[in-house]
Amino acid sequence: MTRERFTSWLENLVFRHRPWVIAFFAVTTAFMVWSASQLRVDAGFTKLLPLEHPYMKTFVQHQQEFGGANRVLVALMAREGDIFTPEFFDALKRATDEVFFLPGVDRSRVQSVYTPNVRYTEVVEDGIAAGNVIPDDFEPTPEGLEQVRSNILKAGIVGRLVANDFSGAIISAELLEVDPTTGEKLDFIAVSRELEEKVRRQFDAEFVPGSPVDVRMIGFAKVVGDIADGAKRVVIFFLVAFVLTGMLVFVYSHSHKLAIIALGCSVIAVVWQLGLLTLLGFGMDPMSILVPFLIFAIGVSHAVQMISANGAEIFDGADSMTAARNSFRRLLVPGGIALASDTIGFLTILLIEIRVIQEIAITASLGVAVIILTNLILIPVLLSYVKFPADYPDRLHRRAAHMAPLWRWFSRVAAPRPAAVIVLVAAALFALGWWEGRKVQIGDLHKGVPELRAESRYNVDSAAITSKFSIGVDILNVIAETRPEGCVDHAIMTTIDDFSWQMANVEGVQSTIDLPGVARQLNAGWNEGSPKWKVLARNQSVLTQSVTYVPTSTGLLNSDCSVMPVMLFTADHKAETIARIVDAVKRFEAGHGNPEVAFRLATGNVGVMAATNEAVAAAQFPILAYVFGAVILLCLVTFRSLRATICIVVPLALVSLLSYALMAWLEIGLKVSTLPVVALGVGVGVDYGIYIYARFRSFYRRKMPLVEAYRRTLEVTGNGVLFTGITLALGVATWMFSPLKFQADMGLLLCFLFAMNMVGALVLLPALARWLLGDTHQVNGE
Amino acid sequence: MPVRGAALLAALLVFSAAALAAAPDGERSTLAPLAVRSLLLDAADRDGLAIAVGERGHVLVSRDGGTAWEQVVVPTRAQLTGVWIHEGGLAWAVGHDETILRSRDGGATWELVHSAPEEERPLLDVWFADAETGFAAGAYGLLLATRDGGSTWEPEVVAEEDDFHLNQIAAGGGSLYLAAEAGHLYRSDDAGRTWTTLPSPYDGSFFGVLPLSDGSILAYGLRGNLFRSEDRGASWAEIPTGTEATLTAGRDLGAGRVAIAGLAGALLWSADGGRTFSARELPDRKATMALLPARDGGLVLLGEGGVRHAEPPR
Repeated sequence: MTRERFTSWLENLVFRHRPWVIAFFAVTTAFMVWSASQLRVDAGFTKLLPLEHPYMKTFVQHQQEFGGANRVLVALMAREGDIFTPEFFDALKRATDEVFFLPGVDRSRVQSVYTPNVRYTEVVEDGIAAGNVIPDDFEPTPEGLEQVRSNILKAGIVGRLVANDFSGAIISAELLEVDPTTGEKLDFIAVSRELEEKVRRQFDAEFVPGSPVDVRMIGFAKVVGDIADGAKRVVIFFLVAFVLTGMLVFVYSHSHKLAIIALGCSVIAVVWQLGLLTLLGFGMDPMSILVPFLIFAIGVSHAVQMISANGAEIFDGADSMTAARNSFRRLLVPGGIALASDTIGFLTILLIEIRVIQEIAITASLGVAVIILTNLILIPVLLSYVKFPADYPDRLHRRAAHMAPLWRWFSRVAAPRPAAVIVLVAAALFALGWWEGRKVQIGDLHKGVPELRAESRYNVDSAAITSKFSIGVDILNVIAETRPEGCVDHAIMTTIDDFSWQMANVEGVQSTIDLPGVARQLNAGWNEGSPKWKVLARNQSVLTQSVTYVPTSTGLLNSDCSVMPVMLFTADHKAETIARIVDAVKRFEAGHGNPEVAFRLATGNVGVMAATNEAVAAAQFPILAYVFGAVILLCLVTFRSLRATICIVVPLALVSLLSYALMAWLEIGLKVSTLPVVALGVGVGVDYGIYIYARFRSFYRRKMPLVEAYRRTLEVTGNGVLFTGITLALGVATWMFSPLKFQADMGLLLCFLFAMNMVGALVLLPALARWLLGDTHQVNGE
Repeated sequence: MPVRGAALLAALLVFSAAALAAAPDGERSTLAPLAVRSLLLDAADRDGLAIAVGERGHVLVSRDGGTAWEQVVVPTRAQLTGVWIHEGGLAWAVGHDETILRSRDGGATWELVHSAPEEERPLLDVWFADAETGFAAGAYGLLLATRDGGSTWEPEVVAEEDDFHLNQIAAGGGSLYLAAEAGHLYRSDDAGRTWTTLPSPYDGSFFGVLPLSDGSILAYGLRGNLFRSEDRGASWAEIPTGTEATLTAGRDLGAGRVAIAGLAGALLWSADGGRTFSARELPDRKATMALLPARDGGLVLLGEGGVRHAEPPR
């Protein structure tokens, strides 16, 4: 057969030139170490966006003009009573100064009651009077504080710069794109660090005993900083996973040499993967930082298969060279196919047009492709050099004897009655998984920034600020596009005003801010503050008077007034809320009948989520179809048997379905981070089935009774599969301790998938085989 | 009557989005869940019927003393600023674009009897002497009068040289009063045919005038200014209010009890026929534009944030 001829040709090629092979790997690895050392950490958030989505096209188009509102809010909350104490005002003044001098802060736009740009106006008999909220001659006396209190009310900043119940005050700062002192792109991570150093550590009562205030901080830069801090801990997880895995491999292989080979080759695979990443021009971000774990774990699991096969040869009395060559020959095809199916499984994820997922697909498939080289070629070559101690076969014998009763007992799963029970239980689980799995929701289900945990400092701060101030953190901006000078056209402004009001009436929209609303307010202001004049004037020069003083920095209009975003503050960012609002926007756009105005979705964090949710919803079934299609095709090609394919694929499908049920139970939404997880789980999980089925079939074809064939299979590969499942699950389980919510979610789900796919392959596969193949091999049975 | 028929049809299809989308743009108000929380600018009550009007052509009707309100569709989206209820379910509402609406069935359906958007002049208040004769007061000195139940409206002259905003019109003791911009107050003793300018105690705008049952008159406006006259406006005494918020709405609650409210949550109570007031600031600091007595002895406030409620004074 050609396949066998090719295998032995390759075997001879590799094993006759062992020093060259090792030299090749050594040189390449050295190069890859150099390349990997150039790896840059990339927090590019546009990668998380589905840029092909129409909403995101709007987002990108208007990013330049309206992306400027990158705001950081620092709230000082009085620990006792309200803000009207000399101590509080002293702290607020000093904190305002600190924020003012932070790098990258647009100093003209820093706002707190202490800054001169925060003024009050009041209608007086002969016009409008104005002044600073804190007068120049302010003294923190009871009278002075009372004056400030009344100015705060007149300035209309309650809810914005002062808490609704006067329990705190905010310093608001806008960040520039480019740091004016360095001329480089502003480093948000550095800004976040400065905020911690210069503000939190100098004012928060946690760090400054006796301080009258608690410090709460929110803003995009702070999110970036906190995520970056969280992502750094990944190194610790990697070390923990490495040490645990190393111990397991040692226990398993009974040989430190074998353990070193297995771990070493897997680390080489990781290094190559990182090196290739840099060569391809990719960076590392908090999501793809998890791929090296996967590669390491997959590498170790395949290394273990190789060591098992090798051990089996040594067990049978072969010498190192023969054992290595036999293992190579025996595992090249199933190992190659298993890894190829991983690669293909990962590549199917490419079809999802979200850059970060595509990068995961590419980096993971590259890594797995690398494992084909390191584990199927390098490991057997290295094994051929290993001098096993004289008692090594004995040790293996002892373990085999130790495990034999377990495997004998366990192989009963292939007996008719247990198999029937297992298949019935599996059917029940299918029903359960189907029922519960349907409840999985798309998008984020919890309050706060979804990347961080609910109890993270940031989300706690965010909750505290939103509860005390009238500040929404979930914003959907709908972009009203019209002609230049559209904001002084009564009909255009009325259409936008109508839109805003209709949206305010949609369940889940808490409030709206838009230029017509501000213009109406200003028109009332020009008429002695009378609410009866809160209208859009029909007269163009009067309307102009109402919009001309609204600066573009409000984000409510662009310079020629042809684009006016309508900001919708939403109650939460649950998928159904977003879908309801998006739906209402589309309905209004379809029916408003003003040809001069187009309402386009969407920017703002909720706008991004809307696009992402739609992209995820559109991809959720294709991604499963592709990955299962690839796996089915591979099984069919490899085993040329429909029944074999069913035995391998059904357990995978069951576990995938159950993982959806698990997500529903744990309230983990289907999103960018969790979408690829099932595909990864299936891609890796199919390995177990392929290894087991390949071995099982070879025994079964020798006309062994089914249970006996399975017992023999377990004795050879059972340890390996069990061990592999545990290794893989352990490698990703460490992520569960990540401060980043999405890493923890991915870790939990992958851990479940890896462990359960192993159980499925060990238990359900033989039970299905019993029912599909019958007791003994039929000549035409396949 | 085609307009009325269409209004009825729209009322029947209240929650049908299709019906709302099909309504001609800008001609008809739309039912909105938040109408009761939208900006309301005036209210009136009579014989158990209360009507409130406000932005976007919102008209709300209550038949339980101001607790539950139901929005009705009207043939305008103009901002409505004044409402008046005559007996027998006859009601009037006025607003921007010189909009005048009439209802003959207690506010259930409305017809548009006058509108002049091109004049760019809002009407600010409405008052009717009987079913035939009434006045709509507006900006730039505009006072429209009808003597035929609203079929035709003619401008009246209040004061030859003045074009001040006529903010409110009220009747008491056989006279009519107008509260106007820049400290102007007018009185008519012949049912609105001729007007005299009253001596003003103040040069800031008046937003309301409130004739009380004891014959005295209160006038109030910008920056918490409140004045009382016992001689039909010939002389005025300043009443300290303790607030600098503009006062916009007043109500004689009987037995010497008077309530006056304004912007920024200002609410004044008097128990002595308006001679002295005690002020408080409502915590929501929202503007109040109209007051109705609530059944618990407190007040139904209408203004920013729609319908609110204030406890009776202790």
